[in-house]
Amino acid sequence: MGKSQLKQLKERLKTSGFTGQTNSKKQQKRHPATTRADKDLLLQSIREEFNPFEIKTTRQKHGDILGRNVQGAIGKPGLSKQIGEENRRRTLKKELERKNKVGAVIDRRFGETDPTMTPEEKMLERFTRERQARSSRPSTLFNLEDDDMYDADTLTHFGQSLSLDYDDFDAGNQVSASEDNSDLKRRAPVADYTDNESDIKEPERKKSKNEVMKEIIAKSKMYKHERQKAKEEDLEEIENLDGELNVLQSLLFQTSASAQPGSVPADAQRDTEYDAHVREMVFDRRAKPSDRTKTEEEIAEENARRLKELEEQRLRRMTGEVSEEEDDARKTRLVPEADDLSDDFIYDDAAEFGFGKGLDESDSDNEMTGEKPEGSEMETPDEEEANSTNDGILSDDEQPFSDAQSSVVSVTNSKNKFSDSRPQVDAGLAFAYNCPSSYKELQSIFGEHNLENQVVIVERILTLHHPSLSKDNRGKLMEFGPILLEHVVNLGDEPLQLHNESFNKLIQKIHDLAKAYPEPMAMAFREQLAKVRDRLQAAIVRNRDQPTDYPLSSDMLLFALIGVIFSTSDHFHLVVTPAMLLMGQHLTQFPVKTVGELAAGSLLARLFSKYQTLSRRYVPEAVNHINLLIMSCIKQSAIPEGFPLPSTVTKLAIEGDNNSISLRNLQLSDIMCDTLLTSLSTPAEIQLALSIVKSDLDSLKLFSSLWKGKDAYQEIFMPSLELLEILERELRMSPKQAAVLGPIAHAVKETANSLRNLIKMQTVNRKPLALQQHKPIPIPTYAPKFEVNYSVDKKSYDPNMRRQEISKLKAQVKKERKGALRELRKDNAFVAREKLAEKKKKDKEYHEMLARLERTVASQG
Amino acid sequence: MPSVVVDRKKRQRTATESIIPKKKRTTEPGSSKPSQAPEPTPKSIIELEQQISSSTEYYNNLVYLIEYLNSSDSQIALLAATSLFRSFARMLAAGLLIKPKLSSAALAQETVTLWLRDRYKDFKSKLISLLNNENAESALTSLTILVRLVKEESSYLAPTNGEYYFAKGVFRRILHVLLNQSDDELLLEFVEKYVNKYDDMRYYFLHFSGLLASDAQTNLSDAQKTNFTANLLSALYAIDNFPTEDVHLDEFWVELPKKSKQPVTKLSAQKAAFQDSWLAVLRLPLTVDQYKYILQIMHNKIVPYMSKPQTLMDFLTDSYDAGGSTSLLALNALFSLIQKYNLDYPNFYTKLYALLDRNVMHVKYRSRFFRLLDLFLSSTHLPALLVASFIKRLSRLAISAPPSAIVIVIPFIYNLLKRHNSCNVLLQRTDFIDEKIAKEFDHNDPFVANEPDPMKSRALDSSLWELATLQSHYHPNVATLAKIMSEPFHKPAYNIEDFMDHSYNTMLDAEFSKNIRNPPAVEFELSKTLFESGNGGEQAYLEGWHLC
Repeated sequence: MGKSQLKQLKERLKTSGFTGQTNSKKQQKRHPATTRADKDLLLQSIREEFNPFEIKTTRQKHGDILGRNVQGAIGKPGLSKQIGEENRRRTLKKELERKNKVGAVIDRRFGETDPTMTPEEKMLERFTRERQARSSRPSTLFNLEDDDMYDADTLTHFGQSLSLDYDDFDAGNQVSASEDNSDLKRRAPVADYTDNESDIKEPERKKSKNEVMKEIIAKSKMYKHERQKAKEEDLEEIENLDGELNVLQSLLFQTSASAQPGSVPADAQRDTEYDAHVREMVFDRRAKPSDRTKTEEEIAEENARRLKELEEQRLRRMTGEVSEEEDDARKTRLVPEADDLSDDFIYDDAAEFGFGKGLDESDSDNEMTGEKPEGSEMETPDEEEANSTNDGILSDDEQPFSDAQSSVVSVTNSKNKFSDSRPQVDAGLAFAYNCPSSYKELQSIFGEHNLENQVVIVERILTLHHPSLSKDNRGKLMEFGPILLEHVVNLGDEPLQLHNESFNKLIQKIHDLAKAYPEPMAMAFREQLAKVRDRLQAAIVRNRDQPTDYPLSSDMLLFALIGVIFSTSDHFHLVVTPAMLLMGQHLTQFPVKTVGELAAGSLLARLFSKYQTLSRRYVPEAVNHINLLIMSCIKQSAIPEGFPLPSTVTKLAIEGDNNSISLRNLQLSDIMCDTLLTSLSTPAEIQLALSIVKSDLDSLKLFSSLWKGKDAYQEIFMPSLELLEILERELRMSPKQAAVLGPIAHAVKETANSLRNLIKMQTVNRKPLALQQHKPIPIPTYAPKFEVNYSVDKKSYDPNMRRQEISKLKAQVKKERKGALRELRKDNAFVAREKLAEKKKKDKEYHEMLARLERTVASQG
Repeated sequence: MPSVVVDRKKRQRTATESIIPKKKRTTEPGSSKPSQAPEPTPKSIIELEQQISSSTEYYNNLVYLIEYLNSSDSQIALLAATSLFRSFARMLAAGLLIKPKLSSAALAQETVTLWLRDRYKDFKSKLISLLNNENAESALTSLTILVRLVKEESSYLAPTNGEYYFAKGVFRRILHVLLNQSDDELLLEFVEKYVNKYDDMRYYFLHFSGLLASDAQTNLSDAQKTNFTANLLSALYAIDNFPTEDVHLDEFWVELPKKSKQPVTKLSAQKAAFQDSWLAVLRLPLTVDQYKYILQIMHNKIVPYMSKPQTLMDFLTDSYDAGGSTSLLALNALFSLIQKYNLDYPNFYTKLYALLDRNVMHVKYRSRFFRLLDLFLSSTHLPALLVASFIKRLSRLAISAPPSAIVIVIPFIYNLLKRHNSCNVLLQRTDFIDEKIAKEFDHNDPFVANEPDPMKSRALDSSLWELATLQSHYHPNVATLAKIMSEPFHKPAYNIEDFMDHSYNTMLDAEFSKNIRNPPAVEFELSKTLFESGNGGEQAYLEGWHLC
């Protein structure tokens, strides 16, 4: 800088080669653009460069920030306006002028618009063109190859041109021939191809009226011709048929006369048979290579693998694993948003956990997600599946119960072996039975038969109605299962007449049916449970002294059956869960009055321990029940804390010296014993009561080993231990008590010792809880977000790429839209300006014309 | 004013004098025994009544009519009673029964008045004895007549004319009979028809029942007391629509002079009567059920209508200290006293802590108690030591509770933990490995379960192992609910109300209403026999149990 404007201009002109030495070689090399146009352009740019009035600068409020380059800060509005105006004049004005006009004169002269051509060149080019055109023009009217002539009147045959101009390989001329599309299409596919190609090559040209008419005429000719052709063909056909009629007539009469039964020749019959065989063979399934006989190791391995798989499925059910999407759904429900106002909508917190609506009934099966079908044997059996699952009923490779029954089960596999098995029970039994569809029917079939015979009858029913024999059998067996269950449960009411082995076989049958048809069997079990529930309910609300029909031995049998038949370790199970709830309700709310009820409670506690053998879940009711039982043996009135104590606990009223009594195993029939606890007198009753206590102590031991590792082990078992210690002390201190409870003294001591040791062991290992180990919940923050490397030029800091893309596109659309609107506005202004100018021009012309006329009139006049 | 009074007396005197000449024609009614009463028929009764109203000489008919009241035919007795009521009502209106001022019995008309008054008394005592009649209809009619008599007497027998007077004597006698009856049917009828309708009846009912109750305390035998208490309680329970503002006191059985300042028109007096009555009842021996029921309704049916509810404090404190479910019930009323009447209760939280005893999870009033407990522990300003003690005690109780109670406890503890962040160590303690504490307690729980003071129970040093154990509860939903303890605490609070009203029955209902969606899993194989067979052999599913 520092130089004056003038000096700068001079320097610039000099460097551009406009001033100073003109013929210097150096300069010519530096500036190859020596044409006039180039020079003009250069001059123009220099002129602009030194004209300060064109440039317009927008003042920046904060001056220069970090050398940022703000778009549009410096511009040349005048120039851009001028450019826009010129553009419009070139395009929009042309359109405006062409508006409402159809024809036009297109200047196709050579070089008229090309400024680079010299006049000589132009003339030369025009001349050559003229000559070319003339040489290609047909000389005479009768020249067949003349294009124009062909257009006007071509020789045709059946609408097809006879012209030799076009053969199949001629692609170059198709442009001019394309008007006769129909003609071309009737030719080879090559024509089609070329036609398409030509279409692509040349943008579609608007057809002239002449061409269109020609096309129409050609088409109508062609159609006419086609119609004629078809008519001729028809006529020909009719004539032919007429000619053949005589022959046909004779044939018809002949067949009607000679067609008689059995007269088909033997050959023909053989042929048809042969055909049939062939057809059958086509449909025959091809023999597949059968699996080779497996070795014993392989079978064992396969079994092991299958068992492992089943165990894995069981574990998954036990942990209550849910499928992914359901799990997600639950999670999203559980986690509320930060600004979640829970009063916006009402929902029941408890229902989320599947508790229903408290005192109202509600079917909230959210938690049913805890149970998923995993095994193939649990899926709804379709036809193929049914076959495989029904193996369970009849297969003889799975006989879990006992060896003695294997012969009986094999009977079911082959009917002709009936005579082999157990002839002593077969006497007087029919071989075929209808599948009973109601409990009464089953009873009438069983009649007076003993249990062994009943087993055989059931087996025969199952064999005769195997689902592979008829498709109705499936439905029949589905009905039969619940009926058989009802029968077996009712058998429990008369346990004394039951034979263990045969009874187990019946249970096996129920298990098989449950495996094959889990749903109807589960429903049947639930129905039985509902009945038990009603009676338990009535028994709880009755007056203390009213008789009750609740703890039947069949009820207890039902609970036991559920334990062996269903998978009790599941997190949620449609049969087991309500059964456990019922058992819990019995243990908590049912007031114990008689020895039988005591035995029932003892059985339920034992069943709980069996239910939880695998899943090891905690059952508070069972421990409470056992604690109360121990308490009923204690004379002392101070009872340790830690378990609920009902207002009335019936104490065991046992007196006298019982040391001679030996304990026995409990029986299902003991549940029916209705001696009051307060009036135990006979040795048998005392024996029973003490045996129950012993059994409960055993259950306590089972629980204590089952729940090892529970965090609250000490809290669970401490009350029991304290009670046992009191009992121990009483047995030691008071000889009378020692005499009364003599037979169980050893068990008390043993249980107390094992509990003491276990509690000590479990508490030593106990650690404080660390349940909230996950990362802490962030506190919502409202502080502004700070970007370390912030740049104004970076448009978005959105971490979500997709959203960023979208906002980018949106911004672009907005910008384009604004630009388009601006352009339209300017266009309108331009159009208005042009119109005004034109109008002014017209007016001016009109006035001038008038003035001229006036002048002439004035001059004439 | 005296002049006006004199004037009135004069007028009365002239009125009585005008009757005398008529009476003189007949023999003195009181002096001679009436001859044989005619056979009672409905017709004759009406005739006798008409005669009475027609002339004074037939006053002896009153004696016949009164005798008819004893008739075994209830129809006759009723007719006689109504006739008598009409006759006496007329006489009352005519002022014939007003006690003579002068003591000289010589005057004839005064003798008549005295004689009539005696008959009137006979009539009343007959009616009152009729209240105990087995025939419900006649008892009811005599009650109606007696109550009407109360009205008549109050309007015409006022000792000083024009003043407000309520026939307390009759009323009290009615009440006495009703309250001592063996069943409370008539009493409830009375309460429903009159006591609940008329504000003065309510006032006097409350007033006299209180007095009678204090009398009963000393005079009655134990069996009678029980009966009396039961009757009075059912009457008091039956009193509804107790007024809440003075202006509501506008229905009166006995007409009131305008702008009178009688206690019956004051709400405060009504409240005082209500209070006296209740306090008297509470002093009577109550059965356990009555006691519990009173405690149950106390906070919303008794406390708001007493003039000084603080007087209930002793009763409530005693109940609260009684322990068990009685304490739980007293809590509600006690709370309303603390809240509304500024009662200062020392060691409230210690006592509350003591209420969490071994049976609290099993009692009928469990949800009622937890609602209140939620209220008491809702403050965020409670010391963490105290809250931790409550949390720990609750989880201790939950370990032996039925599923329906566990369901309350878990969200309850969740809310407490959410409210008191410093208690989170109960769930998450990583810095515990303090050798000293570990040694001192020999890895036992540092929590002192039998410490009565929640501030000294050392619960904050403990951990909620019980809740961790409940995560493996046998009921799937309970186990899932317990799992919230190991999930992040995103939810601001659980709505405790949703978890309150569960029981074995509702849970079973929910279970039984579930439909089969997937076939339930069946045990893969039966590997044992169900029951042990006699000869040993394989191990059975139910060890130690035989089929027969």
